[in-house]
Amino acid sequence: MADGFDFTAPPFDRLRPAELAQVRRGADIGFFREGETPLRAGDLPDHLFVVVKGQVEERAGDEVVNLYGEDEAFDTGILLHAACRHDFRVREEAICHLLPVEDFLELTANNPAFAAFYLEDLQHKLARLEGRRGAGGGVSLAAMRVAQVAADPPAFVAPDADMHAAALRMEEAGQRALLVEDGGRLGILTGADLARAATLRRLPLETPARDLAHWDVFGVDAEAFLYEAAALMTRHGIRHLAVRRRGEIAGILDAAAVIGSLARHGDALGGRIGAAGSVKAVAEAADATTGLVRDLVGQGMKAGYLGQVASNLHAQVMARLFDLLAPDRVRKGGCLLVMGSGGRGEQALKTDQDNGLILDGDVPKEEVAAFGAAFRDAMIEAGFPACPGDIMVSNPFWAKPIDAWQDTLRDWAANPSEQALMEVAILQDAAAVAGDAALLDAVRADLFRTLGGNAAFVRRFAAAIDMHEQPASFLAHLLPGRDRRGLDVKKAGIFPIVHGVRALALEAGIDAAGTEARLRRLAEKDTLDAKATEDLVGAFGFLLSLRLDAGLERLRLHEPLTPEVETARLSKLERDLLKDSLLAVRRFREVVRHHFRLEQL
Amino acid sequence: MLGGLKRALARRRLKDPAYAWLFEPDRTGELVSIDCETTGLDPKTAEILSIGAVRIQGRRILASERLDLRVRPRGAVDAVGTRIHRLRRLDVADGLDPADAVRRVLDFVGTRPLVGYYLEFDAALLDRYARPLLGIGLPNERIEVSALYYDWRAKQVPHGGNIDLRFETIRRRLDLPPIVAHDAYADALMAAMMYLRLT
Repeated sequence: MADGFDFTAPPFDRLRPAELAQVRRGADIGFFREGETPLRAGDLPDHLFVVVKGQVEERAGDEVVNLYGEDEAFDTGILLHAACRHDFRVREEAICHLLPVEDFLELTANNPAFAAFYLEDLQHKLARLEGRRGAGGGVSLAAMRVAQVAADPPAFVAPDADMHAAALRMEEAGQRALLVEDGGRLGILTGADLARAATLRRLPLETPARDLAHWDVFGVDAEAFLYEAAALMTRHGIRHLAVRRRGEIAGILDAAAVIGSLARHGDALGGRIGAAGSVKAVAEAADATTGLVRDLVGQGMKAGYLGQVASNLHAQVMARLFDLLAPDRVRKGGCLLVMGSGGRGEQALKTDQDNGLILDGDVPKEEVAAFGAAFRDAMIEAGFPACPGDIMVSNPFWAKPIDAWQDTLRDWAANPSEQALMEVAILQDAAAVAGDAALLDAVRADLFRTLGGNAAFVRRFAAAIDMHEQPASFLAHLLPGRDRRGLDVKKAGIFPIVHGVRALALEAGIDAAGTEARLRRLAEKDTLDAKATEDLVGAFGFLLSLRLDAGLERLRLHEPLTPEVETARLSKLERDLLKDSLLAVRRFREVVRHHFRLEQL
Repeated sequence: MLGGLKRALARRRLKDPAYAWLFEPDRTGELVSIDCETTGLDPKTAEILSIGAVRIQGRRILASERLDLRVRPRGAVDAVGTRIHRLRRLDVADGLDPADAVRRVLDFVGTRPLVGYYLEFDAALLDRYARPLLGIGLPNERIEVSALYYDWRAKQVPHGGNIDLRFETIRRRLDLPPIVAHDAYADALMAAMMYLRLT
């Protein structure tokens, strides 16, 4: 049968064939003249508008807050709020697909990849609109229970009420779902059911609610964890759950209300890791962390927080393995380190291991070596590949007594080779995972004294910011359809920020591990100005989220992780934010070059 | 005046009184864009293979309520037509009986004016198919999008200049998005978009 338009642009390319057929058959086409306002603030839209041609602007009063062009959709805010918050005004004569809202909600409920596209987008948009870029108050990592989420009060409709009466009742209650009680059984009737009954199934308007409702209602206890409710919804492809309190129905939980903090899941997983009694059990629990990250991305959590949640879980995996494997002398008199992105709390996905060990006193070399090898292998089993640069406890250079570490610091100062600079960066980012953290404090205090106070050394250290030149043509990457190879966001953006900030922190003696925390401390000390800091924090968070998305996609396809992001797949808003972010990186490089007078090197 | 007369005449000739409503004035305010795929290019002999139609309501094309029919041809599928639309005898063998197809079209179109590209050809075929049933052709008003386009374009090109009326040229000039498929429904949908762009 004929299909008309083929809907191949993201995120429609994430739909299954049957879902795509539903979109192609269900969408009307609207023509809108310049100046028309197809949606106004306060409207309850019947359709999602997908722009085919022309331009539509989103306006808060007189201010244009967003612009929608080809293949972009509005108002996706209906995922969070039933009513539009802004006006949508046609800037340039537009043709739009009109996808029924009920179809759209059904797709987002059943297809997490499709939903994630809009939720992620929405979050950036909200963050941008509300001016809280990156700084990120709001998302609470506290445990959330169903009772803490605003569920709709239960609205019932009589089982013999007809379709029309049910629609009126739904409208009156301002909800997308009604409950039906019929002879002791409980059913649910959604707006999507009504629309389908009337249009697809062409049932007469007299059909009673009893014949339209679903009787396989899923309930959740008010005291259950929110993530359990979310899991139920995902598993069964439903958007509504009946909330029960002491056996009574207390409300209806809408999927939109669940979006937000699911961090409790993370805490529960942490508990499982901590309780694991064998390497195998730790590995199994560790296996769940990637799934958790994927879920949280799907729920719209920001990459910055995700990095913290995941890094924290990864650290718990290491700590548990350390407890299980380390001989007494190592466990009581040693400090296990996680380094690199894990140490900075910026490791959302499992990347190569970077770990080390500081020992209090002398432990026989064979004992340390045996532990190091066992730990390395256990980490590999838990999903962290071996480090190609051999930065692991199995390498005696990275697992040694404290006085040997102090000798190494003096060697680095005396001979700042490229290798040495890299090793300093790794140690500067170390965090204590298990054992005696005072050992790391002592080594790092020495690092700041010996190296941070050495202006010549810090300058050389800072110069590594130009290790990867920013490609002059990076903006060309961002034109739609121009780039199929992908942009290496790590080299182009993440590394210059991390390293520039690291160099400034080394010089200023700032003993914080995360890039964002270092940035804030630098701003407090007036090394950086407040506005530039905010821009950089925002840019950094955005680049991390791009890298995370690309990483999750690679994992989904069972491909190895690489730092490239396919810019051709980004939405216009994402491209705009990427452009802003890379420009902020370029300005920051200039600041660092100027600060350390690198052009005179 | 003359149109009114012809209409009255046609009304008298109507065979099946069940279709008297075809002559009522249109109260829907809607239009129907329609296109057929055929076995040939001569309206006297060509057979209909498929019919695509879509309603236009105000500034909206009701694509979700489309008509998309395969019709069983009575003769052999002509090689020329096959090359155009890539429908083979096999594809249309399980199509609708021509009389059933006409009834479906009449129900879908109702009293609404018809819109199409070179509608004359499609309408002549539909008339021929309708005649055994009704005794007359379709009485609906007809709107030719290539004529609308000609008037629009004539204001832009110098007097006497050549105006290309090919379907694809019109689509590009009107800056309409391409539809990859080339079947009756896709062409009806495109003609509907041309109509809305030009009005």
